[in-house]
Amino acid sequence: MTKQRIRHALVSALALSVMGAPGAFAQTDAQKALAGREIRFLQPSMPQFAALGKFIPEFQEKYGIKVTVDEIPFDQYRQKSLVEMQQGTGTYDIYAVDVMWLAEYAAAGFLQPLMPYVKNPNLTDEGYDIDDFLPRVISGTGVYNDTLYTIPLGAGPVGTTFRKDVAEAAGIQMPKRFSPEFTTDFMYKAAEKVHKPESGMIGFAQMPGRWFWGVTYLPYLYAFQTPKTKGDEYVDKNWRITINNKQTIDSIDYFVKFKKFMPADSANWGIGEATAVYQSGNAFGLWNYQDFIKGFFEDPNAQKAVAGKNVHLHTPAGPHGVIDPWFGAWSFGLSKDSTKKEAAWVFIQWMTSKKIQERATEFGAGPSRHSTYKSVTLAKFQPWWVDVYEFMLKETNPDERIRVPEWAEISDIMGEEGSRVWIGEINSATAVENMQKRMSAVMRRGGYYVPGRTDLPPQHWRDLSYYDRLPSTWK
Amino acid sequence: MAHPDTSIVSPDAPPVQRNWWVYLVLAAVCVINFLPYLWMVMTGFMDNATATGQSPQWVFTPSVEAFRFLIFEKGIMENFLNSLVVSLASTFFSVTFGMFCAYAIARYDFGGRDDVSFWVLTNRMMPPVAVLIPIFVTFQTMKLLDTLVGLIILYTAMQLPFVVWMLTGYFRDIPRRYEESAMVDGDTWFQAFRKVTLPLMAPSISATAIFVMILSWNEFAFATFLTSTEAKTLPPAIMAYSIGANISWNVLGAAVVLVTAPLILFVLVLQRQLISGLSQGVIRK
Repeated sequence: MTKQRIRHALVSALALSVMGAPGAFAQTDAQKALAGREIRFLQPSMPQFAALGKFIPEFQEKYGIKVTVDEIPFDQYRQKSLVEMQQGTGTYDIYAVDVMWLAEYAAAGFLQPLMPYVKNPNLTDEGYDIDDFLPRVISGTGVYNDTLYTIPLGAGPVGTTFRKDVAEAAGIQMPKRFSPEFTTDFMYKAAEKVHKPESGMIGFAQMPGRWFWGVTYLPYLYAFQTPKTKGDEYVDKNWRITINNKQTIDSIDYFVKFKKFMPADSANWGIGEATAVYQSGNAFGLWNYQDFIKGFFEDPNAQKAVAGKNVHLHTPAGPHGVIDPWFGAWSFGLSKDSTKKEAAWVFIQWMTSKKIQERATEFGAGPSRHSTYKSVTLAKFQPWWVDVYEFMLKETNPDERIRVPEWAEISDIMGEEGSRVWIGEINSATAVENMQKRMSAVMRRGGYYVPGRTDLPPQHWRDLSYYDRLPSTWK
Repeated sequence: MAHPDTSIVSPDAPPVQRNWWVYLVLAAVCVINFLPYLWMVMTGFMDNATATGQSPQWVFTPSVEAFRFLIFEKGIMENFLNSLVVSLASTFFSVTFGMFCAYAIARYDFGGRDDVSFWVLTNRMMPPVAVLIPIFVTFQTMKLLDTLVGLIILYTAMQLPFVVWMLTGYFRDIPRRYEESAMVDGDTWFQAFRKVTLPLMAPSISATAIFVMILSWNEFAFATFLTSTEAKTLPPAIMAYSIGANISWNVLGAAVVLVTAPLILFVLVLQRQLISGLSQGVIRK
């Protein structure tokens, strides 16, 4: 009798464990019929993709769909994906899409709307629950013209990482994340205090390379705004460029002040150079992207010099208490030219399911779902994400970098003029004047000042409630 | 037992100059040139933590972590094989076709010969990025995207001007009377070419082949855009696997070993021909 009970208990436990196992939902007939297909996924080489890549063998085994991943250096990724999409080659079924490219790709008709797939019970696993995604994250990443085009695979802000042990040794008490005490002033003074290049420790590893201004300088452009100028960082309601103002000048001066901590060859430093210096234990702080933290700073095998010794904060608040509402995300987009859209969708929905999203956080992937943010796995393996939840719910601004086709040029102008200040060729006031002229020319060329034009894009950043709709209500 | 010195020195020969400082300068130049490469190779045998360590470590426990990552996790040997096939095939075809073209330009007088010669060279002046999209569209139409055949055709076409330009000069250096003598003896022009000119040209052709092989082996831009998973060659694969948002130095070091080892081997095997080929034409016979 006892043996029988034990057997029953074991069978029940086994059944429960199978039911509770990742992706244990029974496959539908439509999903089973897709076995034997091969899909291709184009992605840049980045840590968050590497984290998800670990689950591909499991997907292949479960669904019988072969996944071939083509990894492209980040620098060539955009051109390569654009050429493939523009020519409609159909080589790739799924593309990794950066949040900044969504409008361009969707407007050009390169991507397939996803909501019909989400709502198709034959292709989407039971329990997928699209409303489990943070509204602002999914809409900010994947919605264009009220239509859902991509599903996020992690979205987050940028921030700063500092050596806690170095701060403590210097008697500096590092504030908590999002604390109003963490200001631009605090950050500069702390960097100045620990800056001892003769002992192999620089105060801060900034990333002033021309391309990087559009990501590493922007937190300061925002931080130096006043509550009154928020929303008018680049353009006013009529799309007139507004960059020529005191806030921009002050933020550039602040950013360039960090040059004194950097080596003579720092003008071209980007993420690679600054990260390498920090990883080797020779810098007190640097810029970070939330999704890179685990892969770049907290892997005890790869970063012995710094892992476990860091504190990860947001970018600092400026003189008027404003912080950068940064929003960065990558997502899965289904190619319009794919001949295997159903198999590709089955892959996307499985990779962005609750279970896989949670498990992937162990390897460095970022969260996009309520359930992932609240999971034990995230808290255990990437505790620095937990505080970001409220920020991603209420503060983040998907249009922090305004999403117009002209953004790439605007960002480049900012980088070029900013770099000239960094190397001492011009001062910040001249740079800002130049930015104003050149950005205005770009907008004029883009047709923003044509009298009577009524089809200009909406400025959603002025009313972020647009992004707060329930995910399932998008088309 | 000591061997007697059997070398013969003319009594009128000037004394051999032994300028030790020349050797010192040469040694310094060699070391300076070789050190960065040595450091990259060493980095390939470091683990990630050592490669990104606080200070450069000359003594460390070797690790094959980066090679394991590239070979087993990323399957880079497939890319290696693709590179090998594409480079060897395109070298063979471009040198073969280019050789006849160069021979014609060097030996035959025809209208517009100099223009043809210059036109051939101008093909090398075009930056790859300017023709990338047209070539992409052509490949797409001809179903050559992501195929080894496509890359072989493209690289052959790309390297032909270089081969023609190089070999034309070498052919001109070989006196025409050698072939004429063979033809007087009853050979056809092709027999004269094969039996007389070709053996004399062997070092030059080898030298040209080495350069063409290196150019094809290292080509990056077209390989990135025209291939995806089936025909991807080493350069784009290495870039993708070692340089993401940051740089994996040990992976990059291991990749440098993988990408340069065959070339070094190739050049070592053909070193004699390379030197002989490069010096051909320096002295008029």
